[in-house]
Amino acid sequence: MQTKNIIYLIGVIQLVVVDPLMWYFTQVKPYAYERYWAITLVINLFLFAAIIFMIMQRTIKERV
Amino acid sequence: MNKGNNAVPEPERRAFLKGAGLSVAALLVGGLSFERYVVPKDRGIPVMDNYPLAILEDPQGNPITVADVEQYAVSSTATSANILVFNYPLQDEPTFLIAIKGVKITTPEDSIVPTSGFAPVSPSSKAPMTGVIYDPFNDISIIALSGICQHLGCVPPFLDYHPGKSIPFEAQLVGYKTNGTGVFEWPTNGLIYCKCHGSQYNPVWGGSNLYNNGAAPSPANHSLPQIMLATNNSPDSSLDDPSTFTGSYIFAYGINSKNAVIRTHLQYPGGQTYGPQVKKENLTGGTAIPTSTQSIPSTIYTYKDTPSNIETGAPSSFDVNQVNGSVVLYKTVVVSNSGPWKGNFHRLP
Amino acid sequence: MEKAEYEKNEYDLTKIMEEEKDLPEGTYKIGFRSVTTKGYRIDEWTGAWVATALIYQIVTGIIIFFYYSQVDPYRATEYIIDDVPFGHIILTSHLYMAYAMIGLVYFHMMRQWLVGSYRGKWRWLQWILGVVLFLLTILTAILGYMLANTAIAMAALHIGLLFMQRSVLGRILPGAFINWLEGILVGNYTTTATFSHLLALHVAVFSTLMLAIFAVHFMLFERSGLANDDKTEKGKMIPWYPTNLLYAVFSAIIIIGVIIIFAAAFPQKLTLGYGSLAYGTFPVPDWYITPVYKLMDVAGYGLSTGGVPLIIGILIFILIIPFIDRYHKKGVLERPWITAFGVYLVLGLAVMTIWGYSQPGLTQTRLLTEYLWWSLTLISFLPVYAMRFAKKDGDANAN
Repeated sequence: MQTKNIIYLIGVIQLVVVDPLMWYFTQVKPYAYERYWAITLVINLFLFAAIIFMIMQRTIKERV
Repeated sequence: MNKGNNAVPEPERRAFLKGAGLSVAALLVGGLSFERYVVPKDRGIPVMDNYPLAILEDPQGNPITVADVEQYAVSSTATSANILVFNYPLQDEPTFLIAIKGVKITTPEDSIVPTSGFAPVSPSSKAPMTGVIYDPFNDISIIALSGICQHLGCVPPFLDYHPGKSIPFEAQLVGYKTNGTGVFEWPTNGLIYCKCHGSQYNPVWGGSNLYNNGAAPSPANHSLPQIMLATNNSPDSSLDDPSTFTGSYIFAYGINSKNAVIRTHLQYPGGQTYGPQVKKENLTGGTAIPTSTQSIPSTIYTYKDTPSNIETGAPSSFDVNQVNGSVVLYKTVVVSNSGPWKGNFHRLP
Repeated sequence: MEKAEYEKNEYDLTKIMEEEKDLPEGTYKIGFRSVTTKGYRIDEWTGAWVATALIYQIVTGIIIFFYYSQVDPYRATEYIIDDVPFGHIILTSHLYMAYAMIGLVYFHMMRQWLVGSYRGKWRWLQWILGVVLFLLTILTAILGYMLANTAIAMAALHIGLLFMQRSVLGRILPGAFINWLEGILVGNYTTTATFSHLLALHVAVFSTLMLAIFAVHFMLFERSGLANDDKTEKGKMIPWYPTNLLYAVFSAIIIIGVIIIFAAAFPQKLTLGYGSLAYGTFPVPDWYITPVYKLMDVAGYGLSTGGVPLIIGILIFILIIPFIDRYHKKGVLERPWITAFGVYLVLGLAVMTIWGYSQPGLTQTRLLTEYLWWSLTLISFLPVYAMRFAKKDGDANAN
């Protein structure tokens, strides 16, 4: 698979899987699932970091 | 050096710089007067003229009696003690209220260092120490000692009293043994031990610092100041019967610093006076304890070493704080770590 | 059509980050440097991690600030933990990031120490500002730790005030200087005044100073460039934007993520409040205070003759290291006593932290203290000189 497609895939996973979970943990039983909310937030952040990492690899390769 | 078009010619630039430097220096010198800003007007001003006469109350607001405190009296075989603390002379100045069974606390000998190891001085036939409430009918001493360690100012629960059979873990680490097992055994009536840096004070010696007589050196330089206690009935059985005495209210009326340097409020070095009762001193940098709605006792009684055993008088004769020429009765709440008096000396009800 | 007199708007925002080529004469440039691939080695990024921690602390600090009250600080802290949405996670992560920040500051400092990057055109100044930042970090952390009004925090405040009163300055100038310093710290010493002052110092004074000095520290870094990557090679330089930015954001996300996971897994428990009574138990100071606490009495010569001068001596030594490192070469083994002393500091800090944490309030015998310090000296100096000897021997054999 092309890097471009992987990046899109990660974005879609964030939107479809992780974001609903984050909302779920804040809306259902408010304040009861804050710790799980924090974990999903970190998963979301790490998926974003994965995209950044891939872009970074590309920009370094471009120069060297 | 920048010789670009926008640079000012050398001699003029130097003059400019010198002038600007002088101006900034002048501004700074003048600006130094702003230092007064950080010293509030009420900083260093005593909140009252003299030590307050304060009635000891429980957290529910009822005056406590000698009998109430005696319920918390510890014997030499106690394995734990309730910490009883009240604020005196100002708020946030914790003072221990300690009741010890079977001991008459007398004034420590002038030489604080005992000749025979560090075993407590056995109660003699001497009169009780001034400011200690001694109940002759039940053989219980009630002493109030500052709860602020004279080393670096640690307060309860870092500093607390461990009776005979409750040697703290930290004290064991520095070499104390359970009593009856060697040279550095935990004293029969225990010690007040500070877990911050290991200062040791003996309540039976009127809060004397152990200096180098304990299992490890006590780093404090002074003994715990004693807070003077009085009752509104006499412990002399020829004047009042036992139940009247044990039902009497307890009052704090000053500080005895015979063996101590007063630093109750952790403020202002140098305010150090030695003597039987220190007055008009160190009542700065804090908040006064609240006034009480109870009536002022006409007479208060306290033990005195000499010449007669009991000193009696109107509160005004004890040099307590007065407002417009009359004595004001303050109140201070006794809180504990458990039981009906459970509470917090910093956030009172 | 007539030509417009004004400049046209540019709507392609990506062009903001383009390299600026023809700046007018006399322009002061604050640059973001390009580096070669060597610049992407992980140990070149220790400073970025500390900066991440600083920014995270500012953001979470502002969020906590909304709900904090200096009137009843302990209850306000309980309120943030129990009742503010996400309050427990945010407060805990603020604490853990403070721990991480202090750890990372130590790591950053010791890395520069061993690499020797405190020497060079403006690097000496950068090092000195770094030491100032280190002190500000510790002080800000201690102030923040006092803000909860726990028993241990107030013990720290009382001890701090007594230290000030009993210091040399406190004895010489009790009214003029120490009273003034105390006024800054606690005002007239009532609870509200004390916590208003501590709060202002924590959230405004020290943190702003830290941010300002950090800005200069960072600018000096961008002027000097990497210590080990000072050769520019044509065609091999990687532009600052976007690679460098991406790297910084990437490492920031990793650090923040790890801290949030820890905060979620181990939420902070508030220790005993000031004024509460508990028989036979007591809280222990935070880990970054324990080495200082232990060093104070571990010298075994008392506070005024041993502890305090020792701490001040170590700090001055760290501050002037750029001027006393006279070795001509750069490598770790080429600067043996500096390296050995660095190892000594790291080991000493670790030992003091663990010892202080496990036995906070105990004074040790002088013999044990001496034994400890001499063993640490031996452990740090012997291997460095042995390795240097072995290296020289190896080089000689190879030739």
